[in-house]
This record gives sequence, C-alpha cells and structure tokens, in this order.
Amino acid sequence: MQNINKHFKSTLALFGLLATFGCTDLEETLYDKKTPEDFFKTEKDYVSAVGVAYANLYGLGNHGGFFSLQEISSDEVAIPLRGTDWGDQQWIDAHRHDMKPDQNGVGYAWNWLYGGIFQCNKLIHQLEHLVTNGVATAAVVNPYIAEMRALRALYYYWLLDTFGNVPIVTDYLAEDNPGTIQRADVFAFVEQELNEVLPLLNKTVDATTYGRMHYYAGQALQAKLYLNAGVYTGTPRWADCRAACDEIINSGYFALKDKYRDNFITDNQGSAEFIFAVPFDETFAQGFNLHQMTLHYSAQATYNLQQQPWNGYCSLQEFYNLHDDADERKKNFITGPQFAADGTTPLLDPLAEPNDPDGPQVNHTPEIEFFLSGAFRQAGARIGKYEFKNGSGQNLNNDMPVFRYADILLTKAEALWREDNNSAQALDLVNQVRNRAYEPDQPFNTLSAQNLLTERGREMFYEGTRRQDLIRFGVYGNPTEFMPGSEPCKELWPIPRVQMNFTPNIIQNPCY
Amino acid sequence: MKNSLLFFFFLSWGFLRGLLAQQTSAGAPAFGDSAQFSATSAVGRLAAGYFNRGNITDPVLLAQGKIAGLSITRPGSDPNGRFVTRVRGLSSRTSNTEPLIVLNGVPGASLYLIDPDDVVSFTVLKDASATAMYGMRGASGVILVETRKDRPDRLYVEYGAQLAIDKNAGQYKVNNAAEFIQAGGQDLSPNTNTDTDWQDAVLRSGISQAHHLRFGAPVGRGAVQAALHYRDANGIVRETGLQQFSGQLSFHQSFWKNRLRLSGGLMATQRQADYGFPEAFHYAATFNPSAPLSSTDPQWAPFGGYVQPQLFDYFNPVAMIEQNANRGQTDRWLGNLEANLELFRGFTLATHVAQEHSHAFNGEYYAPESNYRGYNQQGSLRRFDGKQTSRFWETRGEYKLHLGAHTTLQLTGGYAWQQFDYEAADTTATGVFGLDKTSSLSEYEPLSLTPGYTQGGYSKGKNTLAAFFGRAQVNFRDRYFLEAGLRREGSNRLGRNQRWGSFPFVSAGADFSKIFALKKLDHLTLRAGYGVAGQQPAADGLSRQVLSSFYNVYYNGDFIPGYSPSTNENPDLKWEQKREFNIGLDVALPGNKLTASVDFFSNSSADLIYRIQVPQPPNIAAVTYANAIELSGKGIEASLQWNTILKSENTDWSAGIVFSRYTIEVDKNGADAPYMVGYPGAPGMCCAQYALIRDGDPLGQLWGPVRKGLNNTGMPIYEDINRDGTVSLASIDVYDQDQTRIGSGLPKFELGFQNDLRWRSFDLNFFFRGTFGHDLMHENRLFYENPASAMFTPYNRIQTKYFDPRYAGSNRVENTYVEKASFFRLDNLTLGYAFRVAKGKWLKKARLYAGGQNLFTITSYTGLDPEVRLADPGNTDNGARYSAPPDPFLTGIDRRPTYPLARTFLLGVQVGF
Repeated sequence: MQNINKHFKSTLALFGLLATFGCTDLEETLYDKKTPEDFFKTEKDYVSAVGVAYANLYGLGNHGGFFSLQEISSDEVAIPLRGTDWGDQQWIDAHRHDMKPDQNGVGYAWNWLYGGIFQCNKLIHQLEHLVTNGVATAAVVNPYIAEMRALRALYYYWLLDTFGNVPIVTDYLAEDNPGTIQRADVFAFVEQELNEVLPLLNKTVDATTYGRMHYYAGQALQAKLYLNAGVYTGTPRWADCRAACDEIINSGYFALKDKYRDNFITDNQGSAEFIFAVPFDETFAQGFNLHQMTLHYSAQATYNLQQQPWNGYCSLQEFYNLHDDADERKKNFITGPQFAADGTTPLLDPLAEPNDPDGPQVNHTPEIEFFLSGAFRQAGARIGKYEFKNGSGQNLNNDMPVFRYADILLTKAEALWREDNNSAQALDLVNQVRNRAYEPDQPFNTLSAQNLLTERGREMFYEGTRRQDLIRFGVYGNPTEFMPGSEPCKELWPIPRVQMNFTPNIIQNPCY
Repeated sequence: MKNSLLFFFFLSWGFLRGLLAQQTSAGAPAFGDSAQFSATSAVGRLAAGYFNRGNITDPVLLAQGKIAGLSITRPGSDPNGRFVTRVRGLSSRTSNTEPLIVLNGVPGASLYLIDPDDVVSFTVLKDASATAMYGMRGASGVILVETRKDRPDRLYVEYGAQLAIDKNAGQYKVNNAAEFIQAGGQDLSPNTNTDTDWQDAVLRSGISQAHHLRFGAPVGRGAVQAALHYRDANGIVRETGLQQFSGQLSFHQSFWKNRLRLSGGLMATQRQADYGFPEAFHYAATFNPSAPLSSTDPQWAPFGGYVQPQLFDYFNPVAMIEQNANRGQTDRWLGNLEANLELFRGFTLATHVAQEHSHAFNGEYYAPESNYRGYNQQGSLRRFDGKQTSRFWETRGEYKLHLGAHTTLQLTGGYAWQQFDYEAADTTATGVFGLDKTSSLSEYEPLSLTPGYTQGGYSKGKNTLAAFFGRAQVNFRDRYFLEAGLRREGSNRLGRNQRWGSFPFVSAGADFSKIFALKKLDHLTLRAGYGVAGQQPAADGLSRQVLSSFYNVYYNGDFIPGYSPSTNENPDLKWEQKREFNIGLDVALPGNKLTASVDFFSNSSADLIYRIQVPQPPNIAAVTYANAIELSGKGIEASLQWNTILKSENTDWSAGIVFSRYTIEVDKNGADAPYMVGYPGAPGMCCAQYALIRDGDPLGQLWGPVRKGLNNTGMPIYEDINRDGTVSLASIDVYDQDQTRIGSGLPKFELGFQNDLRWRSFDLNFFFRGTFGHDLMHENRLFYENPASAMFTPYNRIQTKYFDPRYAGSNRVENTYVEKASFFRLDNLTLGYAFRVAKGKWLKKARLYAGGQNLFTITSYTGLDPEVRLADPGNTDNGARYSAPPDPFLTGIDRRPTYPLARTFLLGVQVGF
C-alpha cells in the first residue's frame, strides 16, 4: 500500500507537470506568406512595395492605349488599314484628329492613367497605415510617400496634356467620385504637388533609383510642365522651365551619349541620357512590343522572332522627309527592300497585293498609298528606332525613356528662344543635340519656330512628345498627308463616354 | 481486401448480432475510450461484421451505404481515387466539408494510416449535440474509428489472403473508323482498314491481391498484438494502381489492481501509388479511330511514333500512358500512448499523447515526345515533396458519483491541444533531355539535371488548436438521461479578435419501455438534443493582410518581386458554426430481435467562410476572407435491423435497411447578387456555367434553358420561360429570363439494404445500395454528341440513346444533357464456407469465400457511373491542371475525365491458429 501511494504521488506529479505545459498561445505565425508586419524592413522591401505603381508603366510600351494615341494623333505615326487587319476605325480616326468618346483606345488610355493614380493613392494609404500601425516610422516612410506623389503627378501631367479637363482623386478612401476640374486647375495641382514633394525626393542617381521618380525625374517633369504652361493655362512659364532644366543640367549626373542610337539598343539600361525610363525586360517586365506592332508579317524571318509581327505602326512620308540622308536619326526608320536574317535572302510576302508595284519582295516605301481604303501590306516606313534583338519573343528588353537629357537640352533651348529669339545659348544647346547626329557637324546658324520644331521632331521621334510639340507651336490643326486639318478643340481627347455614365459630374470636352 | 479476417474472428453469429444490437441501441463514447453510452444524441455505429466486403483499399469504403446520414461517394473505380464523405449533407463551403476522423481517440488522423482490415468499428456522431464536443472541428460530423484491440487469452495467429480481378463495367459507344470518316473526321489510317478501339487500348483487367497476418498474445496483465498487411491493387486503366505495406502494434496493460491502465500503439503504412493518367480513358473515347496504335510515318516521329494530330485537347491516350509517368510514395506513422489513473473511487484522471507524421513524395514525368504536357516544353518533370506532423495531447478528469440509489452523475472536464506542422515544395522543370520514364522518377536528381526553367511553389504552416471542455451526464434509473456541456476552443487560424469560440450542447432522453415497464420492448427511447458545433478556417493566414507578388520591379541591377496586398485583413474572421436540433426515437425488441431508430434534424450553418470580392477603395486588396455564407438543412434518417427473419439451428437470416434524406437551402450566398458557378470548359464551352447560387434556392440545382425540340432545319427551339415573347439566352447574366432549374445534383434519398444468411457452414452476404432523385450533367454528351459542329469533327462522337443525328445547333448547357441518375446497385455479394474444425486442434478456423462488387446496376443514366457527384473539381482542358479545390456548391456534373467503373470478382481464404 505504501508502494502504491508512492506511485500515486509520482503519477500525480507527472500529470501536474503535463498540465503546466498546457498552452493557450494561439498566435498565428505565417511561414510561407508575407504580411506587412514582417515585410517592411529594408529599402529593397519598400521598392518592392511601391513597384506596383511603376509596374503600371509597363503598359507604356504596348499597343492600344495612351502611348498609341499620343503617337498616332501626331503626324509622325499612323496605322493604316491593311487588308482586313487593323480594321477598327479608331486608329484612322485618331490620326485624323477625329477620336470618338466610345472608342476602345480612349477608354484604355483613361483607365491606364487613372489605374496608375489609383495605385499611387493606394500605396500612399498603405504607407501611411504602416505608420499608424506602428510598423514603421514617418521618417522612413515619408520619402516613399513623396515618391508616390511625384509619380502620381506624372500621371496627372499626362492627363492634363491629353484629356485636359479631368477629375482629381488623391485620397484612396474618398467616397464621392469627384467631378471635372478645369485644365488650368489641374496644372496648378500638379505644380503644387511637385513643389511640395521635390525637396523630399531622393537625389541619388544610380542603379538603386533607376526607373524611379527621384529628384531629377521630378525636375524633368516640372520642366515639361512649365514648357507647356502656356498651352495648359494661357500663361507661359519660360523662366521656371529653364530653372528646372538647370537643376538637371548642373547636377552633372546626365550627359548626351556619343551616339544617338546607343540610347535605344537592347541593353540600353542605365543610359546616362535617361533621367526617367521604364525598365523593360523580356521575362521580368513584359510589355514593350514595338517590334510586333510595327514589323511586317514576313519580318519574323529578319529577326528570327518567336511570333509573327502584326504589320501595324508606320511613319509617314512627310515626316520621314524631314530627315536628310546625313542625319543619323534617319535610321529611326526601316525602309527599302527587306531581307531575312542572313542579310541576303530577300524577304517575300506571298500575299502581297497584285497591284503593289514593289512586287512580292517586302519593300517598305515611306509613301502609303490608299491610306483610308486599305494600304499595301508593305507600305510605310517602319519604326526602327529601337534595336530588335534577334530571336525576340513577344517582349523586348529595351528600356523606354520617358524623360531624356537631349529633350531637357532642347526644352531649355526653347525656353531661352521663346524669351529671346536671338539667344546664343539656345542656339548652342540645339546644336549640341543636332551635331551629335551628323558627321561632320551640321549646326544651325539661327533658330526659328520651324527648325526648332523639326529638330525636336527628329530627335524625339516615337518618344511621345510630337503631339504636344505640334500643339505648343500652334500647328497641330494644320493639314498633313492624311489629316485634313482640325479645329483647336481637337487638341484635347474625348472623355470616355462610359466615365460620364459612371459619374454625372464628369463633363465632356468641347466638340465631342 | 474485406474484413474477412475480422469477420472470421467474430464468426459466431450470435456474438456478431449481439455486438450490433449493443451498438444500435445506444450512443457512442464521446471521449476517447470512455465506454460510456448516452442515449440522447444521434449516433450511428457499424461493427466489423457488417462492413462492406470486396477489394477494398480505402477504409472508408467499408461503411459506404451502411449508416443512415453518412454519404460516401466516388465516381469510377480509380484505386487511388478518394471518396467524398459527408455527414448530413453540407455545412461548409471552403473549410472542411468532411467529418472529423478520430482514430483510436486521435482527432484529425488520416484513415490511410491503417489497412482496412484493421478497422473494428465506425461510430458516426451526426447531430451537433454530439459533435459539439469536438468544437472547432465538429460541424461536418465526426467519425470515431477504432482498430482491433483484442484481449486474447492465448497466443493466436491468423492469416487471410484475397485475390481479386477488376473488369471494365462499361464503355462508351463511339463511331468506328468508317463512320468517323463519314462524319467528316480526318482519315489517319496508313491503309484503309485501320479501326482502333482506343478505349480497349487503355483498359485492362486489374489483378489485385492482399495478405494479412496477425498475432496476439496475453502479456503480463494485458496483451500485445501485431498485424502486418500487404496489398497490391491494380485498376482497370493501364498503369494505375498501388502497393501498400502496413503494420500495427498495440498493447494494453494494467497496474495497481487495475487502477492504472496503460495502452498504446504504433501504426505505419507505406503506399506506393501509380497514379497514372485516369484522364486517358476520356481521351480514348474521343480519339480518332482511324489512327493506328503506332506508326512509322515520319510525320509522327517527333511524337515517338504515336499518331498525334495537333488539335486542342487532343491526346493520343496510349502515348499518354506509355510515354509518361505519375507516381508517388506516401509514408505515414502514428504513435500514441494513453494512461488512465483512478485517483480515488469514482475519479479517474486520463491523459493521451500522440504524434502522427506523413511524408508524400510524388513525381511526374512527361517525355519530350509526349504531346501531353511534354512536347511544347521539351519534356517536363514535376516533384511534390510534402510532410506533415501533428502532435496531440489531451488530459481529462472524470468523476462519477451516485446521487441516491438510482441516479448517477458523471462529470468530465479537461484540456486538449493539437498542433499540425506542414511543409511542402512543388517544383516543375521544363526542357528534359536524356531521361526515360523509369530513371526520371528517382528523387530529385533528374530535376537538377534539367537545363530548363524551373519553377516551384512552397508552403509551410502551423495550425494550433487548444480547448477546455466540460460535460455533465445524469442517468436517473436508466429511464431519464440528461447531458449538457461546453467546449471552449481556440484556433490560430482565426482573426485576432475572434480566436476562441464556445460550443455548448444539451440533450435528453427518456426510455418509455422502462418508464411504463413495457415487457415487450427492450428500449423505447425518445431523445432530443441541441448543440453548436464549429469549423475552423481551411488555411493559415486567411484573416491577415497578405502580400503577394504578381509582377517584378527593377532594383539595383536586378528585377525583384514586387509585393502588394492580395488579401485584406479581417481581424474578426471567426469560426463557422452549425446549430442543430435533433429528435430521435430508438426501439429494440428483447434479445435485439429487431432494432429500429429514426431521427429528424434541422440545422443552420452560419458564418461560413468565403473568399469575397470587395471594392478597392476602400479596401487595400480585392479579396477578403469573410464569414459570408449561410446554409440551412433538414433531414430524416431511419434504420431497421431484423435479426430473426429466419432462425434455426441450421439457418439464420437477418436483414437491415438504412434510409436517409436531406435538403439544403442557401440562405445567404456570400455575394450581393445571385451568381453562377462551374464552367464546362473548352473547346467551345468556355463561357457557359452550370449552376445558379441564389438566396432561398435549394443547394444542388443545375440551371439552364429548356429545349422544346428541333425545328425542321435541326436548330433547337427553347422554352420562353418568362413568357415575354423572346428567348434570351445571350449570356449568363440573363439567368433569370429564359433559364430555369434543369436538375438537381443532390439526391432525394439514399438507401442501403443488407442481407446476411447462413445455412449450415455456408454464409451468404449481399448488399444493395441505391441513390435516388439526383441528376447528372452528362458532359461527354454535352461536348461530343453534337453531329453538326465542325469544331467537334476531330473528336469521336459519343453515342447514347439520346443521340439525334438531326441536331444542327451548337453546344449549349441545357436540360437535354441533364439525365436522371437514380440507381440501385448490387454493391457486393460474398458466399463463404467455414470448415468445421475440431476443438483442441492446432487449426482453429478455416474459411473460403468468393464474391463480387458492383455486380449490377439498375439505372437509366447513359454515362458510365450514375454515382452522385457531391463536389465539382472544375474543368481541365488541354493538359491544364485543376486550379482550385473542388466546390461543394456545384454538384451533379459528370466531368469528362472521370475514371471508368469496374466490376470486381474475388476469391479469399482465412485461417486461424
């Protein structure tokens, strides 16, 4: 009995011991998922998080929306009807300054721009939340909030430039859909935002800030904003424009490349001329499809492309003829007889129209016959500004500059010239850019509206500035090859009809 | 193999019936092994002698059709296919819809730990007044599974063996080569008379065998026993099957004049599965019959000499099986130890600890020549490597005291804790060179040799549950019974504001045979109960804001994943809860000549977790996991067992019948508006949907237009259901215009009918199972019956009695393809002969038997298996994989890739020493 009692006690003790292990801790630890609490630790984590707003920019390089309309509504690019391909009237209409509020491209452009704004607003909200939740301090988070506001300002600048009178949304949680704001007020908003955030932006220019809205990207945006201030508000701001350009020029971070075309090679990442660029990658950052958009179907064999190109985008004869043969930038166009990858086998188009005088060998002529009724499959100079890597898939590796140093030099030159038509400094700046394209140099002796605009046209081809430049120089509505002339109100795009269905206080632009 | 050995062990018919009677007349132990019966809740028990018999590799099949309220279904006869198990319909959508398995007292254990031969009983806790004791995991019912724990008085050895053959029970009638070409199909024959029966080419007779060896002996003040099992099962589709070794060791001992009792065991199973390609049969039915089995034509050389036209969702089924491999091995073990200590008279302290571990390693190989998942990626390899460990600990005290002479009160209270750790990697590589089908499956090495792009998924997590529980049971003169209790349980998967839930229950019973001293009855017990049972979320992190990467961002020379919120935080995410009221009546004649019981239940399942789409803003992500769905259910279950239909010295006949019926209504569908679910898939049917989920509608309805007939050009004419003068079928958004309910995937009732006969040394056992009132969308007809559509010309035509050559329309989800699928089936039949053995001889028992499974089915359904489909896996086309777990809100879809049904014949022997 003694013995049993002893066992009893030890057994009791054992149960007691077990009971103390009794655990009611039910904290949930996630091992294969990330949560804000365990994520936001390093600079890299923040870059990863704000990246969603930048990833929206991958939409800049493909067909169908904002960038397509910027290009096609200018005189430098068009998509003619080719057989039954490209038969949706909207691209012809866009080129003829006759866009309609219910065309797809208009809607895509609007949605893409506001999609970027939405992401910025959401990230600002998310970042502010990190501070209120105690995950991070305001000192750590504020520069990223400023960066998101700067990127948002870029989207609003694009809206200001194209749709003009648009609503402004800055609060992620705003419940009411805001109504249309006049273009001048949108300008004021972008200006004020930039003034507020510029001092907070990162002044480092290296691989850690490449492709992000750092201080100089913000200055470039400001320069372009002030360059067009006269168009946007009626009041030019040339001195402010110059000041912003000087911030960039005097920083010493940026310089012209020796060779113009080096800016557009496959491996153009980190070009010293890029102030702000979209870093595309064929695998990790897909969306740049220019080779598919512009090349002839048969040109698959020229570049050993994995997929057949779409035979769409091309330039126009009048614009092409602005280039003389000595101009390096004439290589921005693919013209003449085309060959397979070996360079000798003629590229054939078995489906070439029988009445095409060029016959079945693919031969791109700058002249486009029958633009409205159905152009020849081979017609039109193709956009060869970017290097097309041999063997490319649907997506290119080339980065796409949004703000380039040459543009800033020309911008400053124009601001100087606008204030003083005889500015020697302006002439010098333009010639810096122009001479690079010639061997030997072929400098201008004087500047005029005509040669400034055409120089910008040659330098900035397919970089999304031509429409804006034509408007600023007051010639956007003048007739061109296939555009019969347009009223000034067509300088703005129509607000997508569906937006007005959603929100009654959004107002359509005049003449739509 | 059947429970033939067990059956043998209990060969005494009297004993067997006694066992069953004991179990039907009363409730079940609700805690571990405390053999305390309560006569207050709805509990179904099934003992070994009444199990299904046949070539059974999955323990749960032993109980199919045998317990009212327990549905166990699996269309087709894939040896590796899993059964869907449900208790009383459905009470969850995204969380666990299947009952909690409690194996020898260890909750959450896998039934695949054991060989079916080791099971001795199933006890199904059906109503929430019984399952509330399992708290956070009880809402979908609970099945207590006990393995054999004999108390032998001498050393015994038993051996059983069974040989079975699976034959194809039916295949599709399709066009022969001439008819196929006549109908516009491409002639691929090297000479004009090739006519290949592709279904035959992928089917075979599947030979299976099973061996069971069992020892037991008394040791000290208790016993030790061990069992070893080997089985090799082969399905009727080539290269599908499994081999399984399992072993079990258990002991029990008592000390200190039985005041301390220890018991425990170790069980382990290794299963090597040849998952193969069950979908090969579907591709066989529709493949070009003019193509030869193999070809030397150079155009097919890139495909290894298999004829392989490049068409959508079109795979040479023989090539699929012969070129590729899909195999795996799963190792599982469970060890447990239980101690009961009687501290003083009436008070027992008990503790139970257990650990379970499983490790699954699966490999897939697709040859570079294989058009199925291989050719376009220069071959591919896949490895899944996952392991899970669960640790369980429960301590409880039980105090039984007598209040006066006739009343007992039993109090139970305790604490339980369980943690599941899991980790898995799923890796795919493409660009596979220099491997063959066999070498490709040797662990990871081939993966490391592939030059191609490798992508992987990874998961790791921890699920912790902790609970306190208490219960009081009163028994007044064996006439009145009262039981009430509460379990308070928490789970780490819940929102941080809702981590602990309370699960109360109360139930009562009165035995009128005792109250009114009815001599002719053993029992006449009326019982009623109410309880609240719960269900925890299906996965970790559902209540948290989770950051996921959908794109890449440039940073410092590299592209890094860009993380953004993919789900919103929901700190109030709580457990799902089912409230249920049950009322039942049990009747038993003295000596258990006849027992019967009937139960009615009514329940509501609220706060069911669903992935809801939310607007952004104000939300930071588009998805929130929320308690959004509500269901309610009603049903009736009845069972009757008559043990003395015939009873004499040479002859016994007993029979039993079980019946169950339930209906479920969707009270809240989890969205703001009605919505459709279920895509048929491609080709051509990508955008139609099958079922409408709408508040107030019954669960299980199929939805679509009603075809009235064909016009004289063969175009279908549809019913103008809303009588507005036009038939609007343009899109799924018009579900409420000219579409209506065209069927129900859920049955009206289920039936099981069992007979046990003995004549001298012969025994005969047969079991019919029927499911009635459900419909099936016959997808093979929906896609491949159309005689007109050019899109389907390359596919061979499925021809049933419904085939109409005049039809000139396109394929559409409509009533025409929904068929009544009620069936009544002779599920299994066994005839045995037991040799007479003299007392005292070394041979104690010997029995031979022969039998069959799925011997015949009465049904009007034209597909291969009319079995009800309780959850839809979704569509897979063109080599894609299932992308989401099966949806239990979509029922009644007979999907195209279903494994065919087998008919089984078997022979077995059992000996005991």
